[in-house]
Amino acid sequence: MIPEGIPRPAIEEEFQSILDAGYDTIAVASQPWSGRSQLLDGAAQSLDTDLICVSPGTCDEGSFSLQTDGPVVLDNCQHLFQRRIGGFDTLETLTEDLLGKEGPVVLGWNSFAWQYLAEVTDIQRAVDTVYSIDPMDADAAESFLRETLGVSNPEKALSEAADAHLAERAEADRTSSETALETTGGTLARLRTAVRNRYRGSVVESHLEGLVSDTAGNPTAISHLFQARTDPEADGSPNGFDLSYDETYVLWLVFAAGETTPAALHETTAENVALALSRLERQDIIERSDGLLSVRPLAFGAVHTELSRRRLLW
Amino acid sequence: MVTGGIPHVIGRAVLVTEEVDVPPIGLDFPTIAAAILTFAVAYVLARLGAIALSIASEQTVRHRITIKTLIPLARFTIYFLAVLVVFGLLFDLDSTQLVAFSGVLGAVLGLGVQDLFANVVGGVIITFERPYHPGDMIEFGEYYGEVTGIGLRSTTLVTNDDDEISVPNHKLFTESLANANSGKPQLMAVPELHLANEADIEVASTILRDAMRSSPYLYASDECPIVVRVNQQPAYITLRGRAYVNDVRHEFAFQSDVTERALAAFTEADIETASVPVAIDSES
Repeated sequence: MIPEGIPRPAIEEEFQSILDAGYDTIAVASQPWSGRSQLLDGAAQSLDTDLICVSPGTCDEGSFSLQTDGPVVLDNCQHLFQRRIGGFDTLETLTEDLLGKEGPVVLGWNSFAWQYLAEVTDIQRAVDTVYSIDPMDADAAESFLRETLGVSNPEKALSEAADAHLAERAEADRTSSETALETTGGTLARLRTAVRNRYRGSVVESHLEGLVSDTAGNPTAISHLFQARTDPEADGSPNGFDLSYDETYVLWLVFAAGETTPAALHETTAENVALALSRLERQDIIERSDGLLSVRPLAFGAVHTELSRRRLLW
Repeated sequence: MVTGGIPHVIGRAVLVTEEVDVPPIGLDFPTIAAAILTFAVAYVLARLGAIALSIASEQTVRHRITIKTLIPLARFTIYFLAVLVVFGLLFDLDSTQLVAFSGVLGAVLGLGVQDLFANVVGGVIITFERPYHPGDMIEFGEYYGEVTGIGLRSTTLVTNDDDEISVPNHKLFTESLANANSGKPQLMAVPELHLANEADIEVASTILRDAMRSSPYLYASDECPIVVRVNQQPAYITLRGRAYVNDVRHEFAFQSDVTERALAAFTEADIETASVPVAIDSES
């Protein structure tokens, strides 16, 4: 586990030390878009082998077996199972293969799928160690934004954007109200803005933490949401969800897979997948690209919160 | 008795008396009106508090039961404070009035409202001792349902058939009671299937296990494992699954989901299920 406050480039060093420790099997669990692919690509180069990315639908292609010789680096192993009767067979074959294979074997997983599989299968018992790429905290997010977006002061940028947004709201309130309420010292809207500005000190410190909280610490989501909050022209995040439990479950299937196909969802659940996907797309929660479904980065944090609230994430 | 403090000679004895002021009980109209208003305000506050806490509890599964536990506590506290205020309005708490009132109260309770009083005491004990909480699934007698309210007089259960059962609080201390989740949001569900003796038990067990662990309502952890048990009966085999659901309200949905998908998989795998004979009551 990575201690708090260490910049993300240090992940590679720490993971290299785990590779060098001589474990036969290593599971790497992380959120989507958090640098796991780059990490495993580096591991494959280090082990002088190829990185194999398991694609959606691999579970349907029958038994999946590891190579008999040499090191193996696999990513997106969550596609080796489907949450249905008979959908765990390929994973159980992999588990048996791991027991008889000498490493090193490095398996990359979507952390939400890993969390589920660790409780309902024996996969965690079959690996020697689990390396988790933790979500970002505020300090790591600040360094990340400086390095990737070239923002010199992310906190200040968020604060100025928030103040500008408040001023716009105040002006909109003033111009749209039917009855002007004049109080001593100005309108109620100006008074509200003045009160907020009066306590701007405490708000400035929480802007970056609020960004991290709203994105569940996911780097890609942090980047997208930062741009959305500082650029008035950018798309915003969804304003709350209106989903039934069954639709939220379909959302979990997409979330835990990272990327999946409508066909895979149809095989996994008897629910009305087409209707659920339609509602998820209309509410800007998921998006389609080249036939693959995934959660929108801007919705990542809200999806994480909703799935936790429904206890689909444990 | 002679009043006035004037010594009065009776034979050889001198009886000296003093005037004793007995404070009146404040039953004038303004006091009664204030008492009624106090109870009315308490009623409104208790209702508003219960509504607010109910709304808050429905926003989260994890803390729903904890928040619902506060409802009877809040209600009891508000009414208790109202009674104290009314007592203060109506009575001057000196020992004479207190003794007189206690005697009257004891007689009234003994004569006519002992059951009501027992229910109220039961409600207080339930609130503080918490043998169950709002949101718990309890089995009491022939009834099984979710506790939706703990009142001063009775506890309300809502069954799977959406029947609202009101159980007098004092009965819960004289009869046995089973609590399925004890304040936790997760609860064990037990889907049960019956196989013919010739069925492939290993395949059927795997199907049932897959059905449970793939259910959308599952909650799994080290403390909440998934288990399949096989019991041999004289004419059939019983598969009993045990797993936890992530919300007590998903218990029956989980059982339906698992049973439906497992039976479909049994059919696909040519696993024969058994018809379980039902005992017929000859007196009915």
